[in-house]
Amino acid sequence: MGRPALEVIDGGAASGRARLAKLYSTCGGAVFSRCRYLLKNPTAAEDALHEVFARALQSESGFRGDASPLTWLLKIATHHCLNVLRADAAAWHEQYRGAQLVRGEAHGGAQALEDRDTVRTSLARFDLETQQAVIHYYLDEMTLEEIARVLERSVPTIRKRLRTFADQTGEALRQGDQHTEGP
Amino acid sequence: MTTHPGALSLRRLLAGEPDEAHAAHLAGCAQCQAAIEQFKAEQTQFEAKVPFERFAAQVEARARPAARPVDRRAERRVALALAATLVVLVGAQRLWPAPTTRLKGGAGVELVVAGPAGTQRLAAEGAPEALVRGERVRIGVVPAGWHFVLVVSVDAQGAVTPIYAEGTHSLPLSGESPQFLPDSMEFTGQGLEHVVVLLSDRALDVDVVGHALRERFAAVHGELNRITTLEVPGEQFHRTFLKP
Repeated sequence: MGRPALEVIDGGAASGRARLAKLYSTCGGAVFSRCRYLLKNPTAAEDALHEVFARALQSESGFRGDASPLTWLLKIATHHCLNVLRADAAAWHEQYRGAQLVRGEAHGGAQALEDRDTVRTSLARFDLETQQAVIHYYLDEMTLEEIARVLERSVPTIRKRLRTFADQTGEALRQGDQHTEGP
Repeated sequence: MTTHPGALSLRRLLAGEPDEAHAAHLAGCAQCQAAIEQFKAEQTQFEAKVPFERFAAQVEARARPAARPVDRRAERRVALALAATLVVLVGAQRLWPAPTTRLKGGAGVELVVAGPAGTQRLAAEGAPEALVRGERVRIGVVPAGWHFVLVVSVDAQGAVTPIYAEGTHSLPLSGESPQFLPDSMEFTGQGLEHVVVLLSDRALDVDVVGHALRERFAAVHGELNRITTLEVPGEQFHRTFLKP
């Protein structure tokens, strides 16, 4: 039994295939880049890309309420990919990768990885919300206020999470972001 | 301390999202213009790698709301009905006139996808394998000491279907050598389908395995990609398909 090859998703004049085409041409590359960065696997990244946009289409109200579609899509992508990584954490390839990292340290320390890779490989030690904050801070170069808004947390909470990450990994916070309000 | 807009701010400008302050900075900053060019190149590469039609078809298929009965008894009846229509077994000899295997080492399986034009590929591990209409899947097994095989699947609504079984239990394997299971299957319907191949030294009860699969499905809240090891004896292999 066949089905229509394409199905328009309800939602008004700007919805359906035309809206998807606009998001594809304006945000697709950035979202795909985020998925590839986190998942390190082109096939998994493309699957995640589809999932992210599908979720965006399903969450019509949240999507329309956000002033920045790109910010919103990157938030979904980051959250989704981090969850995929967590779900795969017990898989054999993760165990293998972990063993390789340990071996690398025993053989003279970390190699000259770029900062982005250092951030990525350090993520697994932290809770999901910290992971999200770290990605938005170091990759998206968002301000604490922007991250707080996206993750619906207070600025001090975000700062605390980033400082925990920075303290444990040796990464630096940007100037002006280290200080905690109050005495 | 940098005075440049952050990466996301530049990406938003490129995406056409209004930001007058950053737009003014961009107009006079070669460094940020270079970053914008890099993001443009990234988009171009993306469009070459993921064509829009494929992208849109996949996204729209996943975004469709699922409509399923919630009554468990009804669900079981639906599952039984689907068992007859979920897969269409077809003669394998026309697809694989001289079956070969690329399996190596210990026990293993390969799920080979064959298209109407004669193309073949291995189903991906970890990520859903998108099928187009007319493509068939055949399962190759290296027993490596296991004597039985049972293949079951679960769809996005949690309906479990035995695919390869002998009555109410696993199917005996024919010897120790690598082998393809009889026939091939063509998935009908839409959405995701998660297939589990179980090798064991004794015949497994289909109902017991089905129960274990439903439990895992519930544990991962229906996210088929996240279904991993079932609590049953033997060795198991998992693949997920996106039905055409």
